[in-house]
Amino acid sequence: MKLTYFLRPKDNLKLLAKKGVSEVIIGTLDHSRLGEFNSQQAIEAAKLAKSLGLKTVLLCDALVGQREFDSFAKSLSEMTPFFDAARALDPGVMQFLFDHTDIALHFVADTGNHNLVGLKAWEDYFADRLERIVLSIELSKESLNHIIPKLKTPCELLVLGRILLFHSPRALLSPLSGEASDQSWIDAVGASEESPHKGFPLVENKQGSFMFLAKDFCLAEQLKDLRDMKLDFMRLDPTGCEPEVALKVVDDLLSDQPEKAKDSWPNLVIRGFYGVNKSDVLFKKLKNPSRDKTHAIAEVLDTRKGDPVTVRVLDGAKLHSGMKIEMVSPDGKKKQIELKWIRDLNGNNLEQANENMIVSLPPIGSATCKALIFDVNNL
Amino acid sequence: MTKNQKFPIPELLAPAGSLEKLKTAVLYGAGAVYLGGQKFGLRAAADNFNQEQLRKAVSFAHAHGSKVNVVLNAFLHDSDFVGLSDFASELKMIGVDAVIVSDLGVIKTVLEAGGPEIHLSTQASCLNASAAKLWKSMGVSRVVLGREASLADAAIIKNESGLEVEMFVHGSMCMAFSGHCVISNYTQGRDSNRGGCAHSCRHEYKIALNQSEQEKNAFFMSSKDLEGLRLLKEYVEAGVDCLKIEGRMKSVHYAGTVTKVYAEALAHYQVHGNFLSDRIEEWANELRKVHHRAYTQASLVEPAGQDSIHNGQDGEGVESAVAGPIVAVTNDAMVIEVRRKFHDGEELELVPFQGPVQVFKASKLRSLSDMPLTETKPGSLVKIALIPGASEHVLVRSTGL
Repeated sequence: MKLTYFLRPKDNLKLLAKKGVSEVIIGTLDHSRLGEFNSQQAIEAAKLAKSLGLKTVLLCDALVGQREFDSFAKSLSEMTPFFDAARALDPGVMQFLFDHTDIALHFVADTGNHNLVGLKAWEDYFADRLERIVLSIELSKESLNHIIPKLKTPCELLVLGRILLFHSPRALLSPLSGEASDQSWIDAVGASEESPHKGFPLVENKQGSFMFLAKDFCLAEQLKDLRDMKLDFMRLDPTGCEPEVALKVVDDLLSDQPEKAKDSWPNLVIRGFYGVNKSDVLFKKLKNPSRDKTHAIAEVLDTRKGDPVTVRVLDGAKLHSGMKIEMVSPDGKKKQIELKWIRDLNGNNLEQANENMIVSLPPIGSATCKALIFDVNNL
Repeated sequence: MTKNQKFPIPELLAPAGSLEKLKTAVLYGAGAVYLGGQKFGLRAAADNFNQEQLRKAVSFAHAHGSKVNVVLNAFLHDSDFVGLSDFASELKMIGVDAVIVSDLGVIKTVLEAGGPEIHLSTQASCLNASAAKLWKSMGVSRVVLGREASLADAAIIKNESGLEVEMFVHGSMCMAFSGHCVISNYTQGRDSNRGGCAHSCRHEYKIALNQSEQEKNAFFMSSKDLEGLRLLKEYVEAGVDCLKIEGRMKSVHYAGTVTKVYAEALAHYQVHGNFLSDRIEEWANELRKVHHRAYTQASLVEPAGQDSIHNGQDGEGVESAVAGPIVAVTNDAMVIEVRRKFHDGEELELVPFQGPVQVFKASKLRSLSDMPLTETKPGSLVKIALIPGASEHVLVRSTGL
């Protein structure tokens, strides 16, 4: 498994090459979300990296609006000859690189690409031009095990670095500094006033505003797993790490004891969803189970103590006089009664009430609005 | 675009969080509605539609000349695909007009299942013609552009891609690029791209700017709401095929009122070829009567700037003044499901499906068992004297804000 490194202007390329880094990812202020190089610096860095035997990847993972697209594409075309590969997130940028350059392509699939069907479709589309797929850190170990062997394309995964939570194209920090946004780099830290979460690193730059998790992502202790999965590239994003510390982390990751990288890393770390991704299991708690209308036949609309209960017959259901019903209130209380009568809103007795009709039923003790009515025979 | 007219207009697509909201939106003029099934969408907490309700929804909408689009716009993990293929086939069989999808895996599955036509969700952040052409080759027939796209962008994307283009015209906005926010995933354990968004962007934050070491409290990630009413001419001129109203989780009052405003404005254009109606201020005023944050035109003309940030509490916008929708009409009364207290003799407004609001005084206020009442309580059903224009699903509201 090779190590690819997200390069910063302050990093020492010679030392990185000496330590065994295989490849550097070089991002510019104009083309990438969080790259810090200007175009000329990026080209110079690429030249030096190549001379040191390192492979070079141009990071162009900005999301690009139509109004900027032509100038973005033009400047990108001027950059690509200096690099071995280019990686993009915006499908429009990928398509441009595919159509107008010969450079090897890396598809950044770290947002919204969490299934094999979709990843294989991207792989088929870009075909032999696709050199690598950058996988999402939201994929669990089980998912990675399922996906990686089934893709023809080599895969890459972040093993140590910041977790990007939010990216807006709007300038959100400069208004707080009292200065107009001049597209310079602003760093800040945020704490939620409405939840216990704090320490979110924040950045504003030319590409907009970013928020990161307070803890960084780390799979240093899981590198054996990743090797067993035949993951081809692990990525180190040293943002927030001094260059000499980053070199130590590189040493650790490429050593026989890669787990040491976790201790060398200056920030707290988590494994994210690597163990298991259960970020959908809480959804059922968003709904009140007493409000599950799947088998309900009517819903209480109005009730007053001692008065008839007004209900709406739900879609596809019927009420008929004499049937036995159970009322379930929103707090889960249940009560069964027999429908001795059903009346329409003009007070006429009905034998049957069809779907969507609003009708009155005999008083039901403790009836409440929004309570659901079920047919006892179908419980 | 609605064709065969002197002045063709875009389709108006309204949110339908429930069958009641669907009927309300359709009756107030939606040319199409969008809704979610029990799975595969982005509003896990919403009621959403079961199969029977989906059939009813399609039947009702089609009977009134409106289309139905179903959202399948979650980003799915492999384990989430169970049942998707059958669901897509069933949607086609039911007569659903289109599905709204973000995930390429879902697109492929819907195509293989022979499902309805596919619209690319705004969650996919399609922002340029190059991307639109790629998605076209993947099988989509329409792109819902990212909210960062301008109307000028839309015109270029439509012309260069040959795809139908849909854009938001009204409602709440993500501050992040849609589909590129995972705050809820890591802070709440709820996948925002599978329906669990906790709206953390609406929170107040304490911000420490590194260089100045000063701390400031701000709702710095909360966006104002989009209002495109005064840019309808530009939407039409850009050739936008469909105008989308956000808000499946919002109230019946919202669904009805916002749909009515945009439907009436578009109907005016259809006849006159312009939006220079005497009613433009009335329509703008109507949009201020539904729950909202401060309005912005966001990035429709220029990239959204500092004035697009809603630096305040979520929901501090003007409160709705809805008294309730009419749920039934009897021989001599209209039955109102009360959402806000009103009293006998109070001046109310009836919001007809078409045309100006009618002001009337509530009289003969009584319970459903015909006991006279002096005032109502929210959550109850009451009768008031019938007035012309009253019918099921018509909204009744207070005159004051």
